[in-house]
Amino acid sequence: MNILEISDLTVRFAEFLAVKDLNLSVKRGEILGLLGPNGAGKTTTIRAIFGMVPYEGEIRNYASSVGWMPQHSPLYLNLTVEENLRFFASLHGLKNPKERVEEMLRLVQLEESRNRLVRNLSGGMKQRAMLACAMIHDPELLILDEPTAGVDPPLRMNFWEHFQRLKDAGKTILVTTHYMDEAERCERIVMMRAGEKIAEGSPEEIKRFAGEETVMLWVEDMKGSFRILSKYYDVSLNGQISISVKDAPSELPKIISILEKAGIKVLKSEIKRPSLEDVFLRLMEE
Amino acid sequence: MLERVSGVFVKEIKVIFREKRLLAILILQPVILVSLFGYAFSGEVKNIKVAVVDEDSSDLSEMLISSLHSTDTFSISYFTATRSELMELIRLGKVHAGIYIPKGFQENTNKAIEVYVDESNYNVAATAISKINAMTASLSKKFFGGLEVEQRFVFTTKSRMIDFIAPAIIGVVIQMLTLILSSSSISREREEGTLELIFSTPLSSSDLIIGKFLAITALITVDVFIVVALAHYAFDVEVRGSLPLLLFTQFLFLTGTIGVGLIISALSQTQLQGIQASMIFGLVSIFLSGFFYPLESMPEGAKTISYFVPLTYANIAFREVMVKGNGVEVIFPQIVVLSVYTLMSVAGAILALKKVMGGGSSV
Repeated sequence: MNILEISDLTVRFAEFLAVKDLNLSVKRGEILGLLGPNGAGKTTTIRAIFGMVPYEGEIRNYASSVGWMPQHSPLYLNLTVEENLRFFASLHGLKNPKERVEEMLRLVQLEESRNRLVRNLSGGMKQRAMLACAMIHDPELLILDEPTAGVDPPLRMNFWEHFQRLKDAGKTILVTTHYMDEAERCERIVMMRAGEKIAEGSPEEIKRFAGEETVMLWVEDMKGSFRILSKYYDVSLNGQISISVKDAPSELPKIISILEKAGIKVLKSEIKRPSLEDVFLRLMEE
Repeated sequence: MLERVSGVFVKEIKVIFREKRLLAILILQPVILVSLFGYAFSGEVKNIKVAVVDEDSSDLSEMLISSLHSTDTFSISYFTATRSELMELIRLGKVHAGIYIPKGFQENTNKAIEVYVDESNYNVAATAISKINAMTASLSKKFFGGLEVEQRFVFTTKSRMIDFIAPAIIGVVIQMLTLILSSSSISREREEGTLELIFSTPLSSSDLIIGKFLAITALITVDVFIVVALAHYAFDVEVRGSLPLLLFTQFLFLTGTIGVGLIISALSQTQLQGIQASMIFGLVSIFLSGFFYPLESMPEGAKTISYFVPLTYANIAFREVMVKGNGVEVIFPQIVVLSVYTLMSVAGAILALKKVMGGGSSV
């Protein structure tokens, strides 16, 4: 069941088409990653969801509450961390936010800095304060625009562990990111380029769909093997024989059989799957 | 070095030319300001409304009255029978000056014309007295022995300029303070990115405007007390009428001006644009509100604009209460206008913000 549905979304800035006919649905309880280079239209899509830019198409939201963590953490610089949290709690109509504020401060590890002005916080601390403000009302759907930009690796891990806990508690997260290891943690990914969706699926599906696998062979007669296999496959020779195929597990027995028929013994074989980064870079180049 | 300087020069010009609103302000501001300064300081006071009591009904009094008619400095609005009626017309603000010609004026040149002027408007009072003196001096040449003119000031006990212009200064100060605070309020949030963020919450345009409106009202109300207290205790400026009534009209004026500031702020992309636009509004208000130049003396076009300037009504109300000691019965029209002004400007700010933000969150 979907919590957010976007149909034929188009966003124009004068002549520039920032998002073009985007169809996207976020399933209740999942972590959906929006992946793409700068200018792909990720942030514009999010701003359209919040009605901040004029758009064509339809956006249907079925969540009872939504939390938003924009890029660059636009908090009130002359308020303390706690004052910001209390302010956002008031905007969401939280009657007695004391406990929730404490919980959020603990979560983002800012208990010690609760009375510091936001303007005096480091970039990573501002991100943490922003995340706490976005979650202050315990939203059903959390929309995070590059939440870990400027956050150090241990805290990034901490953020994602928390996102996972939120997901386990039934929350839904739509997150944009540049980090491939973060994208790997999403259940589904939507890749965007120049305002258009170019791939959608689980990280594994996307890797299978868009990336070629590599079969690596170590054989007795390298040159002979290279000559024979080149008739059938895209082969390269670099210390071992590398063969690019769509589905390596099913192709490997066929390859071995071809070589054995030619009297060449296979000493060792390995299958190398592409990383999400390989797929991402390939799709962006196309 | 030349390359670097020319690089900066070209960049600056391009940046300014691409900020359309800033460019418009750059072009419009000098046009508006020079026109207003020129207009305010080069014109002369005209059409001062006067009432006349002619107890003499002589050739000389006829000549004096026809002299008043023949100049565009005065406009005779009333002929009254008694001196007290004349005083009442000045008190109610229906005329700014009154001329009392006593019985036997022509026969007995020792009898002086009495000129009553409303000193609550300093420019008008000074012009009226100097013109009447010039007229009587001219008539004196035709009559042996000369003519006496007695000046009588209405409303004031002290002849200090600060007493006459204090109400207007207070109005201008309130307006400037209010505009500075309100005109950058929303544009600052837009620049810092917090505006979009708070509109992703259930907050509506009216919630934001009303919240800001109340906060700025509270702050400026404290300022109003400081300004009035300072004028009174440091400069001995008198409030002859009711102090609560004065504070109430000042409150109405500041709330309406906050609304205008918030409209400007909602429509401005940056704080700089907001402050510049509010400065234009503030200066136009000052020049067209009767601060320098009485409304009666303005050309029709300028006079029409001045009716849409809230400071015009505020100045009248403050002057009536502070200098003349008048009450609600006299400043009721100004109270109504300022109340409508507040309602319209606050509603306008909500609509402007709704239009700019598309009504806020769609989720």
